[in-house]
Amino acid sequence: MLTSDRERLLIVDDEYELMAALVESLTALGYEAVGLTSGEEALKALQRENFDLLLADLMMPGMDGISLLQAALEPDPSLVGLIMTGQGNGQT
Amino acid sequence: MTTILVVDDHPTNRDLLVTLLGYRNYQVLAVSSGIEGLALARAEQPDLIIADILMPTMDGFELARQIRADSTLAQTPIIFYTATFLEREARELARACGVAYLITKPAEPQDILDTVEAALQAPPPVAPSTIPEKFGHDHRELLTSKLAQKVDELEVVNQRLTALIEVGRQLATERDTARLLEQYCAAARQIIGAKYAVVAILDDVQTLSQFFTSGMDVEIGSRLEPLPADEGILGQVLAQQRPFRLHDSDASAINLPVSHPPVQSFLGVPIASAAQPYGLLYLVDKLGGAPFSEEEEEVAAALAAQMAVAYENAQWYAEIQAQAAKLRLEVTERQRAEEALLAKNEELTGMTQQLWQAAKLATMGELAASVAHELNNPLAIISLRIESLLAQLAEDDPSQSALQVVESEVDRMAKLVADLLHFGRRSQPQISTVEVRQEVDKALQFMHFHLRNRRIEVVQEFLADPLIIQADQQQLRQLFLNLLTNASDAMPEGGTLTVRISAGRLNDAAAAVIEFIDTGMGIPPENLNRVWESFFTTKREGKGTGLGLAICRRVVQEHGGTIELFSKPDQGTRVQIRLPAKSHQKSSLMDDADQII
Repeated sequence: MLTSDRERLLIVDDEYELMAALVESLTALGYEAVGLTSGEEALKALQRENFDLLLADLMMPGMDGISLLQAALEPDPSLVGLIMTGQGNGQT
Repeated sequence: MTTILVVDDHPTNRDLLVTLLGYRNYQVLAVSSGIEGLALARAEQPDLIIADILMPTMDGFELARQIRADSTLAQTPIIFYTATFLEREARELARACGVAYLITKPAEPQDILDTVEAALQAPPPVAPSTIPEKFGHDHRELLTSKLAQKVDELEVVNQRLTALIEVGRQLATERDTARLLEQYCAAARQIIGAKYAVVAILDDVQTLSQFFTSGMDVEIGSRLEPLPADEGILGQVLAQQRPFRLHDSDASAINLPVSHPPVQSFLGVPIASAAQPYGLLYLVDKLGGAPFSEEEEEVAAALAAQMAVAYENAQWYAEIQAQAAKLRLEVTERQRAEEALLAKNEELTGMTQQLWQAAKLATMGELAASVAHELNNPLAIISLRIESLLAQLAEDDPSQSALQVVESEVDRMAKLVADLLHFGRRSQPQISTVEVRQEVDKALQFMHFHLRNRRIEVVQEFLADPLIIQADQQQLRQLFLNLLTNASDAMPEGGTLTVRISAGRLNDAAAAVIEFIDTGMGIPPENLNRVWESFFTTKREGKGTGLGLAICRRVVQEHGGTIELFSKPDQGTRVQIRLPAKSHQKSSLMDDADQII
């Protein structure tokens, strides 16, 4: 999916340092990465701006990754969503 | 005063005469032999001589002959005092040597006194001028016949005693009471020589209810009716506990069972121990028709006494046997109960340990999962940061190697976290059909460089044919990698790692047997059981989580297999895994459906 330059990525993780590290790494790889630390903020940003891909942490206080993705896919079904989890398994 | 000389070698006979005659105011002289008698007669000139016939050295006949030959004594009256046997012959001989009077033993005191009076008052005997030639001959013949008769009697007594001893010896070890009584009954009949012998045994209600017979028709013997124990002669034998002998007319009073054959002579003796009466033994009709003698009564009494002891012993023996059997049974039962208890106890101990272990694992699992989760994010951050730093640095930058060290250490931490998560996780396994050789080979390839760097030579002893099992590929890989890592850690100085795959059995079904054999340091015996415990490790701090083998065991168990560990310190360790094999004839779909993990 991430084939062309300057594709817009939205990184959402309640842990700022992880979010920042991801943003930096992905920027270094040539993406335009925007980072936010809550689901609610991310949803607002998605309504406001256009993103090609959403990378969200699963477990976040308030709106979690799955809820965010479901809410984001409603207005924009073409959005690619990725959920991150620290549990180390696919169950969650 | 009248003087009487008594010559008798039996002290009791002498004493009887001395007392009896002394009481009648005779002066009595007593000696124990013919020679003494002759000397005393010459010295004392008694008015009367009473002499026993049978005496050692000089018998009564010889004494009489000498006295008649002595002119000073020839007129002295002599009385022979002798046993009853052969009375007629003795009387003839007495007359021949000038002895007119004979008293037979045993004799009533009055008879003795009358004979003494008569002898004293009679005119002096005429001494035979010559002792007839015939006297010596008759004298010897009498003695010989008497001796022969005694020998015969002794022979009979001896035979009976021998038989008694033999019976006692044979039956001392007889434990069966019925057989014992039966055999004693037969022995009594034979030894004493009777037509019938019967042993009648008392029961608890004082009835003679059990009969053992010998010489009697078996059918008649088996039909003898029980008898009350307090009636007739049988009753008296029991009540008085002494023998009874009867002949002819008395036989009707015996109180025998109605169906008993007729009785001419009877000898009954009680069978009793010191403790209690058991019954009686009786004999019917002596062979030859004579009455039973006193001696036969004694033999019967001796037999009955033996029988009582043997019978009592046999009864005790039976009782002791029963008690012993009961005790043995009790002991066996108790042992069984103890064993069962012990087994339960061990089971309980095992279960407690398992529970404890499970509880520990559950807690640790949860803790591990949450810690791992907490660590995952920081590790990801560090990893990402190092990655971008390394990308920014020039390849010859001196910080490169330091950052690489940090990167590899972070990787190790990530692996530990992954281990912990795997351990804490209880996910649904993804079962598929797996070829064991391929899976092991993949794991070996993955470890190839690692093992080569450690100078570990890998020897593959793989089965030629494919070996199919049902397994979660991911878990299986983890299992093999863990074991390969352990083997490699056991050989820090290098060595040989043999990986063997063969077909074997597990619970009577086909199994894949996978073995990892290293030549490493081995496991000390005291740790052999602990290696399976979670968080048990002997590796340097930071080198192991202590979860490796615990994970291995869980994986194997979840696959319905077994894992065993054999180790000798300084020689190496062999890990043997058995996993249920899938028969390749069968449909895989069927097996998939059957698989329960």
